[in-house]
Amino acid sequence: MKLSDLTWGILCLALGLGVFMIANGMEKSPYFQYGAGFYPSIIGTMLMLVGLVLASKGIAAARAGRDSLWFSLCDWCRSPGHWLNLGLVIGGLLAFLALVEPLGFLPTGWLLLAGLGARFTGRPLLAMASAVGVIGFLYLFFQQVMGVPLPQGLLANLGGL
Amino acid sequence: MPKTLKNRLSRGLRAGVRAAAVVLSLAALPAFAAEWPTRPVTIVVPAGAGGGSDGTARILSKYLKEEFGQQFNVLNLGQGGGVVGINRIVNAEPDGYTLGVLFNFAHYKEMGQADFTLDDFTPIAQYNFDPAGFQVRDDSPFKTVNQALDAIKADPAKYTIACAGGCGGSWPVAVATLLDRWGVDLAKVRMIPGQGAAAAMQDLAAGGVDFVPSSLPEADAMLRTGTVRSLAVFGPERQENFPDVPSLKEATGLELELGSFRGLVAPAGLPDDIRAKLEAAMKAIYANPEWQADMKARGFNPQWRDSEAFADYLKQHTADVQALFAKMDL
Amino acid sequence: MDVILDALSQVFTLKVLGIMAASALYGLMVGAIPGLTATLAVALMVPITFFMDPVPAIAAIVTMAAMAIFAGDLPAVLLRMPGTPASAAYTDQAYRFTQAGRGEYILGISACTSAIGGSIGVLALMFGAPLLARFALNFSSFEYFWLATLGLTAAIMVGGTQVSRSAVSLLLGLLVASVGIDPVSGETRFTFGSDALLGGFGFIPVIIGLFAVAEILRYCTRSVSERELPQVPQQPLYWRALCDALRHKLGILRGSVTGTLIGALPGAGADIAAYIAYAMGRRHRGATATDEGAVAQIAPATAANNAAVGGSFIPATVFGIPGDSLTAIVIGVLLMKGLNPGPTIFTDNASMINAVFLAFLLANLMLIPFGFLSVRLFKQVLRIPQGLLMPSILLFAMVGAYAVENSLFAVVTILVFGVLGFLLEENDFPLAPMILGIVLGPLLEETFVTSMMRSNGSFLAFFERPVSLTLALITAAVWLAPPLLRLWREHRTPRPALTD
Repeated sequence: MKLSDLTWGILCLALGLGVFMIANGMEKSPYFQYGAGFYPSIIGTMLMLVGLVLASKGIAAARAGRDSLWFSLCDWCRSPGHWLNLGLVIGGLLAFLALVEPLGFLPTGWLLLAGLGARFTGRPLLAMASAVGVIGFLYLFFQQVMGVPLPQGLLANLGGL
Repeated sequence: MPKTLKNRLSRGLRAGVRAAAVVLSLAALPAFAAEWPTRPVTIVVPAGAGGGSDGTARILSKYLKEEFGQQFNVLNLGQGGGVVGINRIVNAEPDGYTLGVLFNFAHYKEMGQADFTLDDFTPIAQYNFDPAGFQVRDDSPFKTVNQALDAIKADPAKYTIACAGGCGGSWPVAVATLLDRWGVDLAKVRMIPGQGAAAAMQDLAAGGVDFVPSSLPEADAMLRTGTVRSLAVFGPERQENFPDVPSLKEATGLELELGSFRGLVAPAGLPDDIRAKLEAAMKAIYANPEWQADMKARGFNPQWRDSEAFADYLKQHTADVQALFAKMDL
Repeated sequence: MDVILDALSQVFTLKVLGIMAASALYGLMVGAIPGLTATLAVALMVPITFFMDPVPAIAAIVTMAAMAIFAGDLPAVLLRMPGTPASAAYTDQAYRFTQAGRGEYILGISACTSAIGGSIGVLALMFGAPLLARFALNFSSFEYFWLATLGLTAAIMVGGTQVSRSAVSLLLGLLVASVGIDPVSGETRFTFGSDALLGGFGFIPVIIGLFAVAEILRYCTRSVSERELPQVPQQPLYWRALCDALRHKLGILRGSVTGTLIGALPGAGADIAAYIAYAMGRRHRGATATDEGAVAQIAPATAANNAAVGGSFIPATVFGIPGDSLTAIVIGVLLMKGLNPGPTIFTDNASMINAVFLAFLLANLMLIPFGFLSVRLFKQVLRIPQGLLMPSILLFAMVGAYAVENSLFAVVTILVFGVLGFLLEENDFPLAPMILGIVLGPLLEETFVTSMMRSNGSFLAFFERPVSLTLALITAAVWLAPPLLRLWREHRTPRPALTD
């Protein structure tokens, strides 16, 4: 999905305005002349200015017929398969977040890898097998070599794997 | 050939399953029955890798490992100036597998950054206290801490004092406590926040601020170049490695010990037997001359308080900081 | 002379060389994984190095750091996913070489320039440390403010031709950096009541999201026939790279000096150095159009980020001021070994400190053989079917982000910024300015606000000190020079200016 400059300009204006309002609402600390909102309010103002520039560019481009006014559809947007891919990656990440603490890193990570691999290659067995290798490497490298404590989940009772 | 292979496979599989079952059942039992610790322990350090708190924790983890025969992993969580790390300690299971290094913490609540209090911790032992030093640039007109304090009292807004970090941390609180004792109007003092002691020392040398409070080891290299001088160390006596820096007591007669402490804590609700075990181990480590040497090599000043004394000390610390913030909040 | 011989005998032992080789492999591996940085590599090795002898300990640290900074270029060039922030400045441009089958060539250039830049940084440390450290001591908040402004200028310039799009990206970066606890007043902002946001967005998870996760999302939208496109056979061109690198000696020297100076300033590191050196190389309009021009621009930047590592040791050894967590760890190790940083470190422990520097120099020279070797190995990654590679990189990125922050919130962060990066790129917004905005945001705010506090609100104070005035003039010149030059050119040539 390609948004036009006008749309982006309006988004920037809205974001800048929001930042500016929140920043201005912050109370000033009694000890410092400049409160926490001072600097963000400058950023907000500049975002609004850039938003105006983008919006005016967008209007000019639409008038000249170089771009549509609000948005234009890209090539891949029409294919449901691509949307499914995107949804799988994002959904997979969310599922990982939800499951990694109860299940532990090893099974959750394996599920994510095998699932995405199967979808992308169309060869589930290959994806499942290679996922074992990758997970094993990650586990050895991070947990054992670098000493990063990964969530253990179900395996927590295995004497501190 | 395929048959034997299949046989072998299924035999292997069955053996594997049996072995796994044995491991599982064995592993499940000790979690309840056996003595703590049966698996690695995490020490949360609410500061980044490489800093002072991290240094003491890493030294400690080595000796704790020797005491218990289990790995003690240091976990650095320096985000949000320490709030994130301390929150992690507070919210962890009090099962002895998550411990933490705690330092001057009462200001977080006063500044509205967090809501933990001393009731959220099980104090185990304090092992370190570094008194604050008070540094000026070499060309500063002040030769003694008394001159500096009098000058600040006469015109508080004229001078800038670095906070050597956020303006609620141990060093600015130490200075503010002293200034308050001296009768300075705290509301008028100009404290400049920054990125920690090292950055503040650089700022001092570059002429950005007039005074920097920090521990003496943090100022050591600059002291030896002669770029800066230390007017006093905020304790009852001089520091072993810095015989030329007068103590606050001899300079001003004030009985104050101000600076930053570090201790080992666990989340509130730690079972008493684990606490006692850890306290005993800490006591043994504290008495170990090798640990003392490691600490001093890094410039950390060992100081001992057992679980009970540490709890009282934390209570006192909280009360002091609350009183100070109340005064600043006119 | 005795000192040098003694130092040599301390470095050239089987033990030290063995440790350096092992650290080199470790550093290469860490640097090549998107999101794992040199600092993290060193931080995770601290428990080991703290208890080793000083020369092997520091040799291990510096070898790891040098290798990790170089290795950040491997995924940046071959997969368009910078392994360390210091590689983010030139990722896009370098990736174009890979698409043309010349990724190995540009990596060969990078290995050579990294070695040269790194060596120049170390030589500056060995012979100019006290002098350069004095220079760094002139920097108070006013000077840092101008340095940050100069960096932001560079950010706009690396962002491409559309200034308004670069500005949006930069402002988003500054905004992201301001989430969490305000460095000045200590108040929280933009956290919307969430504890996880108190610490702000971690820099490393953000960069992993913007580059690695966004790249994976982009992969999702490619049709099957396009997917295997990046697997262009890469021609091995090491020898040409070595020769070509030497042809850009002026640019490399400029990059190395820039890197050393910026590295010597506590708080400004390899990433800022790479951006500024890269922006300096972009002076010539249309430089990016040709390969030759692109190399001329990338070479100084790859030299600068390695030179900054040597530079950062200067204030650390002379004044005990750590510029970043990497040097903070080094100071910790030095103290542990009884080597107290300070001006006397060069005389009191001459042979040991020289041994450390020699090891540092050797580590940089090792970049060429080890660098070439790692390119050969890493190239194999491209032979893995993309359908398996992309999910694996996703998991590496997630675990890497988790390892840096020790919190699952890091995984949330890479997801959010992955989607954001994907959307921005789909709409032709450059990401490089956003990265620099995040790096420089806190520095800019803190130095600006504390300077204003110091001067009691007078903006004149920003021009009163000699160094700050100089930096202010340079910044102004960078902004004003291109339009003035264009005016002058138009004035000279009677033809009407072309619209570009």
